[in-house]
Amino acid sequence: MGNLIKFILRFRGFILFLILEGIAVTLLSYNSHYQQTQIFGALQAVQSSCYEFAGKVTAYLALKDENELLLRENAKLRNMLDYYQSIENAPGAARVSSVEGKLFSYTPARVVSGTTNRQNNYFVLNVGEWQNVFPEMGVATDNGVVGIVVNTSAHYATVMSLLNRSFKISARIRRSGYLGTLMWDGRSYREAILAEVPQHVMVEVGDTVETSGYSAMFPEGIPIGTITSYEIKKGNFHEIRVQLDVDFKKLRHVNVIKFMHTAEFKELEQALPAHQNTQQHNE
Amino acid sequence: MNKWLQSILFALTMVAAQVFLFNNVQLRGLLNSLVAPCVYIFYLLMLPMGISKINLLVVSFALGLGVDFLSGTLGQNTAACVLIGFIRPSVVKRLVSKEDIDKSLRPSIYVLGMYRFLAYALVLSLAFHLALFFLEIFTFYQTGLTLLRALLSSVAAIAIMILLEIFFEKRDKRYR
Repeated sequence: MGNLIKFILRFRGFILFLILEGIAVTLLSYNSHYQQTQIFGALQAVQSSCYEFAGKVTAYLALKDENELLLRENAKLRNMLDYYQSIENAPGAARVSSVEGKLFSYTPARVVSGTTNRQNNYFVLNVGEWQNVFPEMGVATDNGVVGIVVNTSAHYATVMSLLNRSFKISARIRRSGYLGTLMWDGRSYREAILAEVPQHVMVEVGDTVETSGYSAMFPEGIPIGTITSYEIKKGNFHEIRVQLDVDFKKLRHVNVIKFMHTAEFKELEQALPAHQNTQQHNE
Repeated sequence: MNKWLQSILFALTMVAAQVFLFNNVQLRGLLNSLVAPCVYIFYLLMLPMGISKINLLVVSFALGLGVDFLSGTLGQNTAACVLIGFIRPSVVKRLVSKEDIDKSLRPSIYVLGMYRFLAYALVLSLAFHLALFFLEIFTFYQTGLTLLRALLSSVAAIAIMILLEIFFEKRDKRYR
């Protein structure tokens, strides 16, 4: 017994080190999206309001760019409105499909905090469950995809940024229609990788990459970026570098995209055999 | 001012500076994801040389936990801080001979001299950033990228630490 106590006293520094390191690693393992809200729900609210204040102050610095962006978006929407009005007023023209109805709805939101310089980046939006924002909804700006909601509290939502090593969505090359998986390689905040495009597909620098619509999160055809280079990696696939249209450092106003038939879509997808082996829709 | 109060204030300042300033520094292009310096470990580096191993570990743990809470990276900073809290005494022992250790002094540039301070800061901040970045991505895939991130971030952190040191020189002039 005496020896044991002597041993502990002699190595107390090392033992304490092991204990504290153990606690730290345990905390690390709790750091999933889910537990994070569970444990830090309250903290997140405090933190978010801090960041919201900071965001309010810094927002003024970006007003000019933001205004320009909004103007452009307005113009685009007006064009679309005109287009649809003209269709509707044309004699004998097809009406908006009453069967399909409205598929996606958009909730405007403001980014209150976020990072771009980590390997796994997240940002927080000022909308939450009270605004009908829930996990697994897509987030995009007019320029393109920015992330996926992973967590929500009453008034805030945490979004996994496209600049995250776990972020994967199905994307396609607009011109040829070929599908691939879009992900981030952790390097530049302006570039992502489009992988899993078969080698035989003709790829050209300058081609637009957009969402494929093969998921319940993003409608078809939301732009992501343009191809800057491509090479053939080991195997039969291209590795395509995509210049992102969205500048994540200037991210301020975004839209949360709600798919109206999520439950129905999921039910069908779950009924598929070998669901685990296919590409998961939420990747 | 009370020595303890001063130290606590220093810690809080470093944590706040890290969370609200250094974590938000934005650089151009590729550098943005390569340079993410954690300057707050300056506090751990600057604790008096005579601090006991146990106290040092507890302080490291608390500091890391504080930063983790505020930046939403539960556990990463804590683990890395505890690691450098553990290796700091042996690094100090190798750089300063036993007779020279004045227990109330901080291992600053003025006490260690530029070269020894650089060695001291580089070893600890490299260890810290390596631990932090490997814990962050939790994979050895693209190890080269992670090593580069750790190296560049360490260099940036040390540069800022030296500036801080020069800026707060007055505080320690009496020791020279």
